[in-house]
Amino acid sequence: MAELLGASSSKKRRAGEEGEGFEAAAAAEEEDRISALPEDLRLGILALLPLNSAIRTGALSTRWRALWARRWPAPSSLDLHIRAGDDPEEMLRSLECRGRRRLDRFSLTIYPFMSNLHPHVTDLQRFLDYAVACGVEDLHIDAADHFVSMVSTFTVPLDCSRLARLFVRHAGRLTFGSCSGAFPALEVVHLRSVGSVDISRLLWACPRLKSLCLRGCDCKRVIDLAPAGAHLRSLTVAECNWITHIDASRASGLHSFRLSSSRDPTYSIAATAPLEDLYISLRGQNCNPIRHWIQALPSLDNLRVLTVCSIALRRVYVLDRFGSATSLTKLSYLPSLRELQLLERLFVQLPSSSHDIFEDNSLEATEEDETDEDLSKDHDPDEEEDESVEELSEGCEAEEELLLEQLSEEYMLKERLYHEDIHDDDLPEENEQFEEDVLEDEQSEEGVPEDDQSEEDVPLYDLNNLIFAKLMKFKGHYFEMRLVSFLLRRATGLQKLLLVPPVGVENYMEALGQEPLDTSNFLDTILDFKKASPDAQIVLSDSDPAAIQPVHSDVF
Amino acid sequence: MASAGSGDEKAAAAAMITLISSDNEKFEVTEATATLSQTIRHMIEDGCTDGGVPLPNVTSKILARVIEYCKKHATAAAGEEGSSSSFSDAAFLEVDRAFLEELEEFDDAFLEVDRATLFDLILAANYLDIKGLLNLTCQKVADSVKGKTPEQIREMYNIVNDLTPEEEAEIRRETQWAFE
Repeated sequence: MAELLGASSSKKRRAGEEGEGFEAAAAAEEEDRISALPEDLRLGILALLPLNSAIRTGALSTRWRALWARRWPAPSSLDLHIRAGDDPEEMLRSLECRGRRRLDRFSLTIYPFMSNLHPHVTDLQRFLDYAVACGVEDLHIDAADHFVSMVSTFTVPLDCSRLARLFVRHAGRLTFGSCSGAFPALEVVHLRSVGSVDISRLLWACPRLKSLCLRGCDCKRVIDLAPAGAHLRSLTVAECNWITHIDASRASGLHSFRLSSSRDPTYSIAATAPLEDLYISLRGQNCNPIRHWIQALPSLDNLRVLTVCSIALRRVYVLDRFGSATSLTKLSYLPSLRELQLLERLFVQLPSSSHDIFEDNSLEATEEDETDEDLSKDHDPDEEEDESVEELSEGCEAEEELLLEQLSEEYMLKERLYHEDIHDDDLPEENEQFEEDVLEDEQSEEGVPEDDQSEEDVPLYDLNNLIFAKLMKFKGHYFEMRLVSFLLRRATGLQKLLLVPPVGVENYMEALGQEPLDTSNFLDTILDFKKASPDAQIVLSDSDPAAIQPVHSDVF
Repeated sequence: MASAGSGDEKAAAAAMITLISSDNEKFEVTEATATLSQTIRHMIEDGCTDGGVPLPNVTSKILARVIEYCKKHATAAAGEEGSSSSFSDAAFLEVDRAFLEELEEFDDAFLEVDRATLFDLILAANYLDIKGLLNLTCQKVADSVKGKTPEQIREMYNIVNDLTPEEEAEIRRETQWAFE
């Protein structure tokens, strides 16, 4: 090995001498000198790097994969678990014996205590102080114990000059030093189920924040991300229902924005933000934020992954009806889209009896969907509009009605796409409603020949980048088959189409006196569809191990 | 450079060692300079340096640079010893600090080399077991990698990515926070 290296270096040297410009010669030879270094030297170089830079080398090539994990001279990693019966005091004593040697990662997990022997909250703070004193770069605290998580207050000390990532789950209260720029290296902050946290103070303390994720935290009303400025690339705010406004108007580098709330918080995003992944699930009752949620978006030309909650989508139709269609143009051109999901996180506001009635109707509709159902569904647009105005406040049904009027081809296509992924935990009744509506859309489309043409001619729905599609609760209904047909026809790069039969659908169908679902009868039909992407795999199951992992696999 | 000169004078009195590069070039250095290399120190201790020390893994060009580094730092080590004897003397401390600054400047200038030379120096420092030089050169590489994306590092060092897209995606997913 050494001889080989020596030989290559002498060759390099000659090239350098001849060609004067050393840099040029080095580039011309295109030798990978760094990977050729003996492993112990590479480990030594990795040990000189901050943790996040070291981890990134793992993606260089197979020779670098996971090498960082055993870098030395070792900045080490400590993974502490406190279970019932453990004595935190003793653990702290042995930590002190270890001294203040550098730490890459410090993880503290407190398991549920069955007895009353809860650790003192001050003890827990001492663990954190210890980790910080060792220059920890990746700090992870998880208090799974309910009592501890309720009463614990953690203070992140001010002298965390190396801290790059902070993850806290289940803490009663999290406080930070108030000094601006106290965490110069902190780039990633994930807080989950933290009772009380002062986000603005945190933001002022970390000027280089790249990624902020808040889930189930009691943050105060307005989050102003101005201190992070253009550094911020990823922002996730999920189930933080006290938040009313998110100001990311200066986050011009924002790539990823995920928002989920059962209220309707507003937000502002820098107009130049190059959004690549967007997840919006707003399930509040107020219509205006829905208009806002589209208007506040920057250009979506770069958008690769989109997940939208269906209830918001229904509101989009309402908007479209009332002349706000221009605000929707942002959603009609998504040239870079690769993955698309529709969540069905329901905000059920109708009494169950009303559901039952509706459900019956929709089941009938789906039964007969390929017959003359379409003929019976001709509507008078004016009448519909009046109806919808009245029924708007009543929730789903009214909005469903509005869908029937969508004549614009693009929106119909969109609706079909949005149905591509219906989240598991929705109610079957709601799902049926949707199917009916889309079905009707399809039918009105077919009644207007020009629309059929425009589907082929207008490249609005250029799906050349779409590689992954997942249809939850696939029952082989008419509209679902149309969607499958559409995707197969238009998505030239589609690699996988996952059709997931609804869980427990047999019981549900049986309860309603229907035949259990037979998946085999529509499979043949699907296989006969024209495919734009010859390699597209069609899989009828959720248990496909080789399935492409969706970017938005985390559903909140 | 005055201090370097005085180092040479001291060295002149000491025993000389001959180092022979892979391309058979001979370098005469003082024992103080040569023993910055633990490898050579052990050879001297074992008394097997008569007739020169062959270094088949180090070319003359690199050996010349390594010797340049060792000379400077051997002088520094000698200077430190000298000043420690008159520790209380403020003037000496002042000289000492100035010398350390000069040494730092020397190191910075020393690292102004192309990448190929830098890697040759790392390998030579590793082979000769010169801790200071190894730290210096490895730190230089680490600094160039720090804060870069994998793409930038690959481009910088001509690393061929032989991971499949799936593998790379998996690696990024495992430790996603570091890639954000």
